[in-house]
Amino acid sequence: MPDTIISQDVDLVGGYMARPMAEGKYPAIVIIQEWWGLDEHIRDVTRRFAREGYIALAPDLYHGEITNDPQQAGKFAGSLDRSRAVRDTQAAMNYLKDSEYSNGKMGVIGYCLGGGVSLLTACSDSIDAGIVYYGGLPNPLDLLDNIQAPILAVYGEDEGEKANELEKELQARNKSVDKHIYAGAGHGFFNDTGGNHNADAAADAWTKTLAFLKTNV
Amino acid sequence: MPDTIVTEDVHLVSGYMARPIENGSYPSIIILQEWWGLDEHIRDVTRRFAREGYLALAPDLYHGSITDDPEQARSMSSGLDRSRATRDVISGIDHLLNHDMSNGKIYTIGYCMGGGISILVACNRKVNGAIVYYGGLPNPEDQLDNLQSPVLGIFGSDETDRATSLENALKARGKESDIHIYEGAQHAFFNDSWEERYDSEASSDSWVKVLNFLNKNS
Repeated sequence: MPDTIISQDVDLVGGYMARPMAEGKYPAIVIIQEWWGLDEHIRDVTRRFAREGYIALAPDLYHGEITNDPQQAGKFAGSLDRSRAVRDTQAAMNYLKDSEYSNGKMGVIGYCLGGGVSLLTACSDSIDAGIVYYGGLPNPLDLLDNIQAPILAVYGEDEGEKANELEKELQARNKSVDKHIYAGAGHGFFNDTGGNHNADAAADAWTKTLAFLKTNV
Repeated sequence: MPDTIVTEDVHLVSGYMARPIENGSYPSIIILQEWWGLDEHIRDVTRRFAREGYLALAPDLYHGSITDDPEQARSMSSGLDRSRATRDVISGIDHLLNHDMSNGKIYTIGYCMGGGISILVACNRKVNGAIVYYGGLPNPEDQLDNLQSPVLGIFGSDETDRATSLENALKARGKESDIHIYEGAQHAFFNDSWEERYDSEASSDSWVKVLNFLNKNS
């Protein structure tokens, strides 16, 4: 008699990991996606960090969904349960901490949608460095009270006010923050596959990001 | 030039899922493993719930580890980060409730170590019902203050004390509960792959109670 059920192993939270090939222990970094999903660009960024000597992991916050359509991306981002996103990020951190390639240090970096999630994660977990590229502030702002890690804030000129507000709110709470606003650059400027790519700003931000990580992670 | 890095698609939280083949709208249930890990027995239990019309998922709380050695199991169980386990379960709940075939109802059932986790999760996230087979109170116990789900507790008479503690802790807080103690049955009596502990009558009767509890709270 044929069965009435089907069964399979499932992925509840997936991700893309890149690390140096050489045996050893490396500082870890979680990379949090833009609103398109865990796309080729984010995979590329993950590999870049690996080449700099990090064990890097990008959790799939959209659980299999991906898009290059701004309308759809907006829908996905709007309906993303932020608590679930933080949980998925925590799952990534747990995975990295468990890894034999991890030296115990943990940084979190996010872009756009991911920038906001990176900040939320810094508010709820003990990490060694939090990096935000043009991300939104937490709601309520008082979540920032719990930040323990130094923050690097990278914004384009178009969102200078947001950057200034973040800096102000962190300084008011005696938190360490290093803010950079790139003149002539806009939201998404680091994404070299995107329409807002600004090569000079991206290169400089990359250098600053690596230096910040080297100091703290 | 050869690359200097390794890349991999990874599983951060995994599980074993079973569901009815036929399209429809079904309640969901999370099955929480004993201290051995996500073993064949738990997979079998997961399939049993699927056959009763549930989207059933057993999250892998040990992230790939499994054992049949009691000392190893004890060590893995006491070493299990309960906050991480709770998060893993909630990831499982999200997965099920987002499934096309979900009717929105969600229950947790756990055995032994999993029994404790079933209640712990219910203290952290409202579910339609939480079932505990011979499991312990959350630590600290005050987490029970946040419980918003009805509880069904199933114990062997070897753990009457534990059953009574749970019942008292829930009653004291005005929580809805139903606790059953099976005379002559032992811890793990529902595990039909464990000859020494398996009690077929207690097992069958408790299965009926479980299905009735799920129906009652649907």
